[in-house]
Amino acid sequence: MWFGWYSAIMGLSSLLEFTEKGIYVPKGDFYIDPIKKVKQAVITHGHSDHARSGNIKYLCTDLTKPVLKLRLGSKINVQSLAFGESFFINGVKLSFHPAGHLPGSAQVRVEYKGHIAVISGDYKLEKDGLAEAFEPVFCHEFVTESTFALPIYQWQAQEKIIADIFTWWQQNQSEKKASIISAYPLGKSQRLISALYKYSPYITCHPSIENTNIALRNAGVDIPILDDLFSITKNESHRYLVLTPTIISQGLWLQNFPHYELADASGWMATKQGRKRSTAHRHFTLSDHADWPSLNQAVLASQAETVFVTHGFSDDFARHLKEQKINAQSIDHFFTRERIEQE
Amino acid sequence: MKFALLLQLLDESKNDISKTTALLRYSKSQSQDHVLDLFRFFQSIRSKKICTTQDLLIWTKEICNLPDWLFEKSLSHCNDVLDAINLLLPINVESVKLTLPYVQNLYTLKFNDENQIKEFVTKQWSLLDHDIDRYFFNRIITGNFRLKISDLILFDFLAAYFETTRINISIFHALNLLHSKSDIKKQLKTGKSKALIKKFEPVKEVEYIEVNIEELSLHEYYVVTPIWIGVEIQIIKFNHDIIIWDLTKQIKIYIEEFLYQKFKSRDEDFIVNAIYISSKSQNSKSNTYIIITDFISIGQNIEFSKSLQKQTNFIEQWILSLDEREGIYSNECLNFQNHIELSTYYNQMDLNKYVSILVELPDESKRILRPELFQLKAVLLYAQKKDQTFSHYYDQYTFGVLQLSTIVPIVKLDADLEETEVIEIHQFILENTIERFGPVRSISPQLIFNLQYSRIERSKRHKSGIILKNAKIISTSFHSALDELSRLSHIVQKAIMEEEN
Ligand SMILES: [Zn+2]
Ligand SMILES: [Zn+2]
Repeated sequence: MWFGWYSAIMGLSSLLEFTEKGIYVPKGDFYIDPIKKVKQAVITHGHSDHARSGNIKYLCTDLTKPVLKLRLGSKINVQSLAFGESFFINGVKLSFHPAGHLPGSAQVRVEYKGHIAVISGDYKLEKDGLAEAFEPVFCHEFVTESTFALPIYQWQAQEKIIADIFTWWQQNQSEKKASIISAYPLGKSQRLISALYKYSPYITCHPSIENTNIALRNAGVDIPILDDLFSITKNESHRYLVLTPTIISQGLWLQNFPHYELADASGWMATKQGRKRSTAHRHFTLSDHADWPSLNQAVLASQAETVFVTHGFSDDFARHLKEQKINAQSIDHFFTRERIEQE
Repeated sequence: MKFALLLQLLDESKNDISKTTALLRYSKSQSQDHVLDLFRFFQSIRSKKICTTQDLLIWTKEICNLPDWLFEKSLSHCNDVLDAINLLLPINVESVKLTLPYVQNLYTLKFNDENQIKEFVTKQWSLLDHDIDRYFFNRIITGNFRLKISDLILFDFLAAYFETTRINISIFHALNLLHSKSDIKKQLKTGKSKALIKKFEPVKEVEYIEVNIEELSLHEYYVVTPIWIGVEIQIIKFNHDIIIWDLTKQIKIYIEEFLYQKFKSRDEDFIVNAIYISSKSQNSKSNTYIIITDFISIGQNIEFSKSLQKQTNFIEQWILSLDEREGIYSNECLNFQNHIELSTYYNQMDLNKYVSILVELPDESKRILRPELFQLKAVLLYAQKKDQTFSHYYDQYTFGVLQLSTIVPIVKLDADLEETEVIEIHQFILENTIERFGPVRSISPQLIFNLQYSRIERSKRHKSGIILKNAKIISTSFHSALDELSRLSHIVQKAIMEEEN
């Protein structure tokens, strides 16, 4: 299915098409974060709602490459670029620019005959001390995410959240309880490790997270080497902060953690409703996505003439932007419902 | 830990142990006086309605300057207006904390008009920490400040804080020691709490006598029997000179039993409400009366209004109609010198089949000591028939609780429920069987029950590592979600806390 009607209406020649397979750049014949199998996939970052298996060729940042190999298999045909490095596909100039979402996550800039489009992928503006800082990129067309695009989502500074987590961890420790945080294995986990290791080195994680740590460490990301989860004895387990994936099966390792408290760290923890859905004892509002003020700021910074909104509250954010006299539209309805929104 | 976080944890925790833990964490750095203050605050929690939620909405709209649709969208996404209001208001960088004294001060505020209220509220919004503090401020001022904190939780918390048993705390509470500025720790150690206890005259027997309520002089000095075991009561303050007790459940059973003896039939269903009065005259001699205020025979659809005056005639007639003046006996009266002696009685409540112990304090206020059992929420995991030949339905259930993200079996119980419920559950079992192992069916974990138990024992033979003692099904909880299930770690922690005590 091909949707070119909006460019006719807007009188613009767009670089982008929104198809069932995802965001398509017809001039270069490649897709960005395709939903279905394509010949050439350009990947913003390794999360499973962006990087899917089955594509013939992949292009991503140097840091995302080992992550893709880990997640999609070492046999995939993947080529990588440094941030800011230009690459031509069928005459379309393409480059990656930091999105600040997680280490190696990128916005994709495509340029053809002076017309520029930027596809943000997932992004956040706050510097987390690990991911490359978000870089505003000038463009004519900007595709923005909208995971937290409601005015109720306003984040607090990372230092405050991290300090809160540390206090909680210390309290647990003094009560001889381990502290278990469930966090997304790629991104959130490394962000927490990196920020909390400055407070105390008693951090460990589930093997599924350590796999990602190793891949990123080998690629030069500064992630501290942690104590092995399985080497921690019952007597010392209460000292530890344990990072686990969101859904874990009951593992043998838990035998050595008889007492513990559970926490969730996610942007959804901001609302009472979100906390209600969580089974954890404590909730920390920490997101790898931009909050409402940041989303607005990023859109303005791009100076885009046209803004396409996807990945979340697309309709609402597009309507809001339109009311701000920005030419915006939601593009989510072009995609099939296979997308599973993730942090 | 800041006070607002404590409020959030108390408000949002899914189980009692988390609430107790939160209270303890908060209190760790607080003085004994502050902790007792906190206890009194939660015991008598109230709301101070300064304005309505609608007012807050209007003021928030003015401040946020959002279009209606986006405002509405935010509200509906949050599904909690006061939460949405807090999240929509601007973030405060430098902020004031909602402390216990701050909240206590809120209760004393008085306003002249609506403008003054608006000025106050919006000012506080710009000062209070937006994180949680502002949300609870909104709850308090709109009269929506109800946190579910039972006495049990508060007692467990105080017991842990003062490093004593829950029984001691219950007793200290009953003796009003938690409400005075006293060194609890010291009194617990020395057992020197007798100064507050006065000697009571026991009342051994309660007789039916004819009495006209209007003839009771309100200038006479009436007191209620000091210590009375086995009766659950509710105080009705009738007048400052007279205290009338509305006897509930337990005495009703006595009366119903008495009526059964009378009519030798249970075909008639009776509901009897009675008033129990004991008077003390100048010479200190006690008289005790039981007055039946409501005598409802369901079979005959007779109902009587609650007004005493109107019923006097009926009561008199009814009492007169009883040809044998059989007495209703109250239980023994206990004498004790200090909290340690009282705790001996308290510990034997179960043994002596006491429903509760009533304590009258020197200021004539009353407290009830009641034994508390533990409760938990568990999900139906397996079902079988108690007796392969005689059971019509699946009537023996194995329940599970959460251990991290899996469910472990914790106890097997007989279906001690109404037959209609058993049938309903039986149907559910048939429809939700995952597998059959001989006579046992494994059930998709969906159906949640409230269980009760008295204590736990460790067991190597059981998968959960524990056995629940005196476990019993209290009720089904069809509408509970799986995430409300009790956690094994909490049950064990609770038991460890008990053991340590
Ligand atoms: Zn992502
Ligand atoms: Zn995403």
